[in-house]
Amino acid sequence: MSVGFRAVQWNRTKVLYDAILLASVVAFVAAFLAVSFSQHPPKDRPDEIDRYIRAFGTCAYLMLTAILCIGPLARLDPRFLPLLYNRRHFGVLTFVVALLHVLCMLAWYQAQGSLPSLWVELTTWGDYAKFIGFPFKVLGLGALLILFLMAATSHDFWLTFLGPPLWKALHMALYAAYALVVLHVALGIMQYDRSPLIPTMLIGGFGLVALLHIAAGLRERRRDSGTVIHPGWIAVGPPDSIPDKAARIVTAPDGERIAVFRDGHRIGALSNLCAHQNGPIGEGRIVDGCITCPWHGYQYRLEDGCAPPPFTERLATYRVRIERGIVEVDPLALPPGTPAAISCSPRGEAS
Amino acid sequence: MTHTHRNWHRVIWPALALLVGLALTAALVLRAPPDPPAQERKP
Repeated sequence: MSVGFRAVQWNRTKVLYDAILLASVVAFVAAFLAVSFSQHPPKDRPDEIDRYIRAFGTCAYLMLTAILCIGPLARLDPRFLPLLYNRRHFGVLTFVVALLHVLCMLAWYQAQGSLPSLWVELTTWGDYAKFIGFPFKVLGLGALLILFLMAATSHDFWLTFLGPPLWKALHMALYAAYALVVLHVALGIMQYDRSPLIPTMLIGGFGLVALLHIAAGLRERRRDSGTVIHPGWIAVGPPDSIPDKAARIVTAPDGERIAVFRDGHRIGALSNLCAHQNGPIGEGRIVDGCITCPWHGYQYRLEDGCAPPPFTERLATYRVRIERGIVEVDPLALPPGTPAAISCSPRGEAS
Repeated sequence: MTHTHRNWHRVIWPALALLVGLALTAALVLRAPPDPPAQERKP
């Protein structure tokens, strides 16, 4: 490994997160199968495999829905932040469950000795022109391919190698995977199974993801539009308007966000992008004298945006001043690691 | 999230959501009707 890669640090929280995740998946699949088998005992081997296909497929859909809800939920309420902490493992486990769904589908064809008919199904080109009757398995395979790419690049090595902006852009493909999965179910099982549970699950899940994103987006838009810009400087407000050991986020004219932190009488402004995964550092707090990213706990000094030794991450800082009792920020970023914090007197004057 | 990511997110997400919403509605509307229940035989 190269590019300054550091091994992933396991800790108790991560292990606990993974254990709860794994236990939830096993419990869901077991409960699904138990209910299904007790209500309608399988007639033969293919029918039994079909239940596994449905159990893993439903589980993967619900997991994907949950993953897409975590981001906006954490934005709307910080109590959901712990869910974000190890979201990458959530994604990798979703890929594994989706893969089990596909493997069961192959076993279903195998059990009937009709594996070649799957190929025929996928290569009947005329069906691709239809809407109802579209080869829906292709949509699922497309989603699986995206999930595979994301799981394969989820390791911190790839995050360091590609850099946070490119890595983040790549991982936005999860939205495309979700769209493919919704259509896979809508044009697949929903067309053959008349159970009202399937459309309810699809519309409910999709609606929840959409509503949470809209709510989080509206909230961010309100915050962005509230920024007042004096000639050349951004007005933040009186020092007391910045919560102690936390930040107020303002938006620069170029659209980038700046986190203005206050630690007692010290005020400093940094880029709102954590060097790790471009997390919203301004939504974090000052812990043990360091600004701490709410996503994964990466820390930086208020004074100069540098991570405390032995770490080497550095954030861009911004000049700060107090004019007529109002904290103002120069929107031109200073080179990462430049000392720029100021002290203010209890009366709100710079010193 | 950088400003560029946010802009992409704001464009892509609603477009995808609209597309999926329309396709989901069409898939529900165009779904084949359920098989009619078997008629009871009269004595």
